[in-house]
Formats: sequence, C-alpha cells, structure tokens
Amino acid sequence: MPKFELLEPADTREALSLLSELGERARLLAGGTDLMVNLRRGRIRPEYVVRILSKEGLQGFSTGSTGLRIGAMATIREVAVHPAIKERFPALARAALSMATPQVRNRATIGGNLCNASPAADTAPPLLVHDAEVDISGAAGSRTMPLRDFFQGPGAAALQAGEILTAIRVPDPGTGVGAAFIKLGVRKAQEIAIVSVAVLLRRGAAGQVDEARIALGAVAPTPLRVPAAEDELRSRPFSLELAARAAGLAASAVEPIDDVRATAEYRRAMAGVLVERALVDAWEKAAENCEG
Amino acid sequence: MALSIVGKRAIRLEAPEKVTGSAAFVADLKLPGLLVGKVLRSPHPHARILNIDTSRARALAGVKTVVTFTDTPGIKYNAAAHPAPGSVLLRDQYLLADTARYVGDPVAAVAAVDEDTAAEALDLIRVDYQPLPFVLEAEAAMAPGAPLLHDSGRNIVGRVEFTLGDVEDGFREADHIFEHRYRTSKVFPCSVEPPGVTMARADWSGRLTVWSSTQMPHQIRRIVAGALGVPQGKVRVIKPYVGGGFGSRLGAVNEPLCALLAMRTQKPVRLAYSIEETFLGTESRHPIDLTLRTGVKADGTLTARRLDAILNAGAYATHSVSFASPVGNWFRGMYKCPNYRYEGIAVYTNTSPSGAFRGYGNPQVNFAVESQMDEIAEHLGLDPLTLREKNHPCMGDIWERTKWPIESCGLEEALSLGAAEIGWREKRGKSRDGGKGRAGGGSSSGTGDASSTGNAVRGGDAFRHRGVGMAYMLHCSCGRPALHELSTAMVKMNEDGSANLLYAGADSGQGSLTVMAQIVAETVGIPLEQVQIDPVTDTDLTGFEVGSHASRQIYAGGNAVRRAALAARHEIVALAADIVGAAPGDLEIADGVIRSTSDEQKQVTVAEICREALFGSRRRQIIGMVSEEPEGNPPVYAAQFAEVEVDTRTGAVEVLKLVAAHDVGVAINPANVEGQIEGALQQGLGYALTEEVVHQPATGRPGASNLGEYKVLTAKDMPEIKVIIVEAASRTGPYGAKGVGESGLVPTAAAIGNAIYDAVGVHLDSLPFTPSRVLAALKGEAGAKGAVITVKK
Ligand SMILES: Cc1cc2nc3c(=O)[nH]c(=O)nc-3n(C[C@H](O)[C@H](O)[C@H](O)COP(=O)(O)OP(=O)(O)OC[C@H]3O[C@@H](n4cnc5c(N)ncnc54)[C@H](O)[C@@H]3O)c2cc1C
Repeated sequence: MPKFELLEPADTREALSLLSELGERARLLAGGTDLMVNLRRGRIRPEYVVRILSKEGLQGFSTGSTGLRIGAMATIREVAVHPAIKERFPALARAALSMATPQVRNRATIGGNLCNASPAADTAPPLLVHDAEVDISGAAGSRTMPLRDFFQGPGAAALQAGEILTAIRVPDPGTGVGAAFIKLGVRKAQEIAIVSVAVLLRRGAAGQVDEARIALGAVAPTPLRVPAAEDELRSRPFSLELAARAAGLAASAVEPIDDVRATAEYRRAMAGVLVERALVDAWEKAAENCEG
Repeated sequence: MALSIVGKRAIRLEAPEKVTGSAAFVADLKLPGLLVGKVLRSPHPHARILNIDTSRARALAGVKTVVTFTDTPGIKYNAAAHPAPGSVLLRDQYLLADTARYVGDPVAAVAAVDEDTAAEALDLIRVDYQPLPFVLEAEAAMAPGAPLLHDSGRNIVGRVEFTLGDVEDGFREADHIFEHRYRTSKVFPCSVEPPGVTMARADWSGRLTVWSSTQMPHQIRRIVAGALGVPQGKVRVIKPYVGGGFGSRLGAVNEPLCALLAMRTQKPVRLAYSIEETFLGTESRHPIDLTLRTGVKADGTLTARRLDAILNAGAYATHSVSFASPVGNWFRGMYKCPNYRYEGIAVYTNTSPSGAFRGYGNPQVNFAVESQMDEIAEHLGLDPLTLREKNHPCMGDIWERTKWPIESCGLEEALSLGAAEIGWREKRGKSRDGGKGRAGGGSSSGTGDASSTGNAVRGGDAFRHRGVGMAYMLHCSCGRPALHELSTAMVKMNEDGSANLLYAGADSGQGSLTVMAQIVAETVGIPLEQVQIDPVTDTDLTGFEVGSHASRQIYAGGNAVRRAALAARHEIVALAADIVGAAPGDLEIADGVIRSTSDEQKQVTVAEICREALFGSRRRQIIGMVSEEPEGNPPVYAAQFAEVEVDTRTGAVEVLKLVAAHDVGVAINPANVEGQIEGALQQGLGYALTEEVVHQPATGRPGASNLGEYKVLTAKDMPEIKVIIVEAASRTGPYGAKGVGESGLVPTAAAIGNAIYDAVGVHLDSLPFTPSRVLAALKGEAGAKGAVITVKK
C-alpha cells in the first residue's frame, strides 16, 4: 500500500482549512471502505489522508417538521436501523441493509457512499426519489444542492477540492406515499448491484398517481432519475399496464455498460422488470399510507 | 464388542486452539531475520521475454535477492504430486517462466526485508515482452495453426480412450439416441487460507526446511527436491494447521520458488500468495466440453454410452496428462451398460493451469451425465428415480472404474429417503403439468431481506416457478488401482497407557485428525483423551504418506492407522495374557482396562501393561507400525435433491432446499461427515449458480480476480440443507468407512439444473446457471447450439 501521512483535525473547521491548504495532495477519510480499497489497489496515491471520524455536526440524525437531516458520518448500519428512517423512508433503510456485510455497514458512512459517486451506490436511488439535498461546506462557506445534481460521472461528485459533504436532507414524504427499493444481484449479501431501483409514488384520492419518482443505479454513468417514465405515470389511474409502460420508458432511458457483473443488454431488460415491480410495490405501500 | 468411540460425534481435537485463535498457520510462523517474498507476474497471456532489467530493484535498500528465469536451476518440473506410474507427470515448467504463457505466469521473484519493500522492488523490475498470439479455448487450441504453447509441436497434452463392447452395435440396438453437448466452467476452491503460503529456510548445513500449507507433505518434499536439484534427504517439509485444501494444494504451489529464494539469501523467506493471486496463478477445476451420446431402450435400459471430452488444461501440464483418465473413469463407472466408448483430450491454452479441485473431474462428468439422464427420463416418460434405480451399478457388480466388485451400495436407501425428504412425489412435474407454475411464497430474486419484501407483489408472483430435481453420483474412497495409496502409521504406547499417533495425515480442516484419534482409541481400547496426535506434520518424523486426495484420508490413511493400533493392541493383549494368566483370545480391552471374558478377577489396566513393557521384564516399548495400502476402493453413492424457484423475468434461480443423501459407509464421526457434505454443497451451489472465471478474449486476463467479482456464495445465500447419512459398510475400510471428502458437491449442479427444468421446462447445458443464461434459455436462445435429440422409430 502506498505510504501516506494520516492527519486527524480536531473539528470540521480545522479539517476544511487543512484540506484547502493541501488541495489535491490530500484525501478525506470517512469509514474508509472505498478509500482503503482504492489505496491498496494503487488507484489513488494521496500524500495525506485527512480523517474526519467522530466530528461534531457530521453525525447523528435530526428530525424536524420539514424532514430528516442525516449527518454525513452516519454509518450505513445506523441508517438501516434508525426508527425514523425505517418508518418514513423504508426504501432507504432497505437499501442500506442490502449493502455489503454487517462489518462493512458498521464502518461505511452514507456520506462516503454518495461522495464515492459509484453508479451502483445503493443509498443513491432511494435518496434521489425522496428529492434529497446535500449540505456542502468549504473554506469559502457552505452551500446546499439537490442530490440530483451531485453525481457527475463514475467516481465524480460535485465537490470542489477541499469541500466536505456535511449532511443529507430528506424532506418529509407526507401521506399517501409509498416507496420501494429493489436490488438485483446474484447473491444476497456482499453484492454490488447489477441494477437497483427506487420508486416513490403518491396516491391520489381517486386512485390516480399524484406524484411519481423513479431512480436507478448501475445502469448509467451516475445514479439517475428517469423523467420520461415519471411523466407517463403522473395524473393517470394506476394499473399494471401503466406500470409496464412506464417501466419500458425507464428501460429505454438508461445507458448501461457491459462489465463482469452483467451485459448491458441484461441490465437494460432488468431495469424495466425492476421498475415495474417496484412501481406495483410502491403503489400498494402508498395505499397503506393513505389517511383513513 | 460394541463400538464405543467410533460413530460418536467427538469434538474436534483442535477446536479450542482454532476457536481461541492460538492455532498457528504458516503465515503466523516467525523466524529471526524472516524475509518477505513476492512474485512478478506476466500481464500478457503469451509473450516472449526479451529482457528483464532487475538492476533498480536490486539496488533498492532492503532487497535481498531478485530472481528471474536465469537464476533458476533451469530444471523443468511438474507441480503435481501423484507419482508415476499412476499418473504421467510431464515436466514442462520452470520455476520462473522463460516465456510467459498466461496472464499471471511468474516471471520474477524478490525477497526483501518487508512487504512494502518487496512490493516496491517488483515495481522497479522492467520486463521487455514481445507479445505472441494466444489461444484461450481448448477447442481453438486444437485447431491447425493455433498458437503453440510449448515446443512439443502441438497443444494436445494428454489423450485417453476407454472402450467396452461396441458402441456402434449398442446404438443400433437403441430405441432412442440422445446427444448433447455440455460445457463446464473454470472455478476455484477459495479456501479461507489461500493456497501458496510457504516459509522456507536453507541452513548452513545444507538442509532445506519448508513450512507449507499443503495437503501432501511427503509429495512436496519430492517435488521441491526435484525442482531445485537437491537431494531429497536434504529437504524437510513441515505442515502446520492448514485452512482448507480442496485440491488447491495437492501439488506444489510456490514451495520450490520460496525455497529458491531462501537458498539464494541463506535467510528464511515467506512467500504468501494473496487471494487475488489465487485467481491469477493457482490451479482451478478443468473447464470441460463434453459431448455425450447415449442409446437407450424404450424401457430405459442403456445400450450404448459415448463421451467425448475436451479438457482445458491451461498453460502447463500439471495433472492434465492423466486427468482425462479419471474423467473417463467417472463416466464409465456411473451406469451399467455393455457398450461404452470414451475419449478425453487435454489441451494447453494460455490460461492459468487447471488441476485438482474436490471431485477431480467428477462434477463435470456428473453434470453432463445426470442432466442428460433427466432428459432421457422425461422423454421416455419414466420417473428419473426409476431410471437411476434401473441402471446404476450395485453391490456385487463390477465397478468399471476399478474393475473390482462393488463392496456395498446404499443408493436405494439414499434415493428413497431423499425423495421423501424433498417431497418428490407431491412436487415433481407439478409446475409443468399445471402449465402455470406455482407462485413463490414471497421470496425474492433480489438481494437480501432488504429488497425481498419489495418483490412480494401481485405483478411478480406469476413469474416465479418452483420445481424439484435430483441427480445421483458415484465417487471413490481413494485412487486405487491407478494411483499409489500408501500410508504409514505408528502407534506408540506410553507408560501411562496413553498413545501417540505418528502419522503424516494432512488434516486441512476436514477433521481427519479427530477421526484418526477415534480409530486409535477404539482399536486399542483406551479413552479418546488418551490419544495424542500432533496437528503439525513433519516429514522427518513420520513415515511416508501420500496425503489428502481422492477422498482417501479416512479410508486409506485410517486403514493404516487402525492396523497400526491393532498391532499395538496385539502386543498389549499378549503381555496382559501372560501377566493375568489368561488366553489372549479371552481378553477384551475397554476404557483402558483389560478384562478376561471368563473370569472377572483377571483384569489389568493398559497403563500397567505399558509400564511393565517399558520398565519390567520386557524392556521395550509397545509400538504398532504399519506401512501399507488399503485393499480396495469402494465407491460411495449419493442422491441429491434440490427444490428451486426460478424468476422467469430476471432469470434468477433461488435454491430453496437441498437434500443430500449419502452412503458413506460407516460414519466414524457423523458430525464430521455432515460438515464435509454441507461444506461441499456450498461449493456445489456456487458451481451451479454463480462461480466462474472467464478469460477475456481481448486481453487473456481472468474476468474475475478477487472475491468481489468471483461470487462465492455467502451464509445468507445458503438454502435449507438436509444431510442424510446412509451407512452401507464397506468390507475393506476401517470400521466399514468409505470416502466422503469430495462427493458432496459432485451431483449438486445437475440436481439444481434438473430442478430448474422441472420449474420452467428448459434444460441448461452450460455452467453456471447465471440469470442471463436462464433468461436466454427461456427465450429459446440457448440449448439450440448443443442439444440434439435423435428419436428412432
Ligand atoms: C466489502 C465491501 C462491500 C461493499 N458493498 C457495497 C454495497 O453493497 N453497496 C454500495 O453501495 N457500496 C458498497 N461498498 C462500498 C462502500 O462500502 C460504500 O460506498 C460506503 O458507503 C463508503 O463509505 P465510507 O465511509 O467507507 O467512505 P470512504 O471510503 O471513507 O470514502 C469514500 C470516498 O468519499 C470521500 N468522502 C467520504 N466522506 C466524505 C465527506 N463527508 N465529504 C466529502 N468527501 C467524502 C472520500 O474522500 C473518498 O473519496 C462496499 C465496500 C466493500 C469494501
């Protein structure tokens, strides 16, 4: 493993100033479950690794009237078992639980999962359908942006050198909403998705789809939403045929590649199958969540 | 007398050491001045090595030696273990390659003061390669004009033929002829301790000591001596605890290379391959292309069987010259048929060498034969169980593999118990009969509990179909008569009545150590706690032992151990008879006490007798010693049953339940037997569903080179498992035991494939059954290439 110097700043401010000083020579370390693998494989060779473990403000969950704030350093396990997430954002909890192994989930953070910007990052699709936003801090100040704009390519997040993702904000979904997550892989643990899908539907009083959001992972350079499929659903009465039509649109919107896990062709076909299944699932859950 | 220790679920002797982490494996051993070795591997599948510049690596502080082809003794060797004449060991390999023949072929090695320095040194070595044309598939490598790997003029490295009767006559007699082509994949055992963990020291007296995570210490001694051109007597091999074998260390992995580094530096060196290196440069199961033609009467009687097998040997011969023999032996031994013909051809390709892996050719053959049997049964309208019952060789029949009469057969019981456990009668054929399939109980094609709930929806259930399938298998208890099966054991009685067993057994985690102790305790008549065996095997301190292969350890090694214990017992009884004044035939031993069966007063302890022998009138130690082969090679039988659920939209196959009913002879330790079968099922499931390395056509690189890409199934993926032990005692095995080490994975893939057929009506001809292959088959895309069914009349 290439040698590096480990720096452990006392707080976020110190971390930011270190990062701005060191620029490209430094890398941020959260849980390290992506970073260490890349270091060992020689894919990155930073001179400095800046550790931001257990820093105030980056941790914990806070719920307010508008939604949930998840600190970037929350571990995947914490996300998977947090009562508010299980209750109001079950697709996110499921996605977190589908990741890796218990050991990795104990270390890996949600911020790391997003900043690593893998097209297959499991927490991305559910956060995308929840219209999550991310809080970013840099030496020059802080900003908030929609998660949708955060992913720019494989391994490329919309972070300037020296910026830290501090939190993820997920608006409260409200009533009549159902969300689903399905991950396709060949084994039940320790599996990077061949295709993953998250769906959020809001069910209208007359049985029509009031709101539809669909996101997919591992089928394009970034996790992505599929607006054409969402538009197809909106304001229409839900049916299996409608779900199949929207799924077809989703499948044609993706840009998968061939790799060791699957062919592009299989991925595209599965994008459709999974979207269709997730839509049916989300619709049933939406019914359960309707008031009265 | 009733058995008191054999048949008991004795706890593993080494369990406390392993559970507390105090058991030392090779990588835990330390010596003063220990250096770290590392290997530089070819990135090209085939390349001439024009020049290797090691000067910068040599100049790096902390580097003690850098070796390339020119630093090796220049002796060609073969890494496989079995001595001739049973197998032909073509010597076609140098310790470091003169020409790179696969991606991963070792071209240079370093020894340095630590891991980082060794890694840095590798980066500083400059190799000028001249890439050469390469070939990855066996069939292509046989074609005229294919790139040649060695200077033998052709890529065919071994060819074997077996015939009985006249197959053409047999096909003429047949009512139906079935012909199919099957392909199997390249898979690796992926044991917890990767193969290729070695430490070596060359001391000033000229002695070479090699600590190896091997399955065959005595064979390693011979291979190391031969490869380095040093006298065998100068080499000592020590095997500490080993973390799994499965054939991956049946021969040398990197022992000779590590020893070379130690000799060059006169310092101890450890060379430990990583799991990534497992996929690059250690032996795998042979991928085989099997064309199977079977003639059958309308009532299911077999009239002719023909198998043509093309084996992908990889870049070096290792086992492959003779490997086509066991492949043919499994084939001809499986079913009774007056006419058969087998031809097996092993072919060099520019891929990592194939070699031994649990089952040694049988999983490949079984997949083909048992998949086809299912189709035959279907076609003839016979129950697959009936077809097996009708045609399998049974007790008293000649087993074509050995040409010896079969000692015992528990297959019928295994078939009926297994069928009952899976619910064969209620379930088989139901999916296809109904035409609609049975909806799954809300289980999932996705990954994890997390996603599974997401699939339990109305839209999805109609696409989930369940089915049951089965396959039968026959395997061996050792390699006789083709292979040499010598074991040597010594049972030494101490003056306190305890025994030491000196035996070079190669327990690599299967628990054979404990079973050997049970055999000694039972045979001598002392409590299990009074038997000591060192888990560390040392070729200086033990007699010759072939090692752990061919499911032989208990059958063949246990035979020598039992006979050595018996020899000790005879001496004990003879002396006791003198002392208590009884006829030897009148005495029995139990729990360390010798009693006369006719006179209760006459008794003495084993401890007293051993003390008397040592210090009393005899002045000699009671020692039983035996060096011999077992008499036979009884086949072991199994029937496995699988229940699966197939998602026809994703192609995902979920195995819901596996039933493995195995006739293992007498189970000396049933817990160990179950452990062997369950562990094998995990590998068999992976073989069936997920595991595969495909060398990339453009680059020749293995498509999976770590455990993220190579999908070994996890604890979460394991279905419900039911192991059923059937005990048809052998005549020649210790206490009636037969082999069990390999058989658990032999029929698993075919059973699952046949269950998939039952669920969705498609036969799959290639392993593994990946979702995309299943989908393609459902769309009618696959199968078309291989399956030809000729129906006469
Ligand atoms: C065995 C194994 C299995 C895995 N399985 C899965 C899986 O099933 N699904 C999946 O999606 N992933 C999986 N992963 C990948 C990985 O575990 C996740 O992406 C994890 O969430 C990364 O989080 P981390 O805290 O470990 O990130 P780190 O490795 O610490 O960081 C990842 C990257 O993000 C940057 N970074 C981290 N935090 C911040 C921050 N707050 N602000 C700015 N930049 C930051 C780092 O500099 C680095 O570049 C697996 C990894 C392993 C080793």
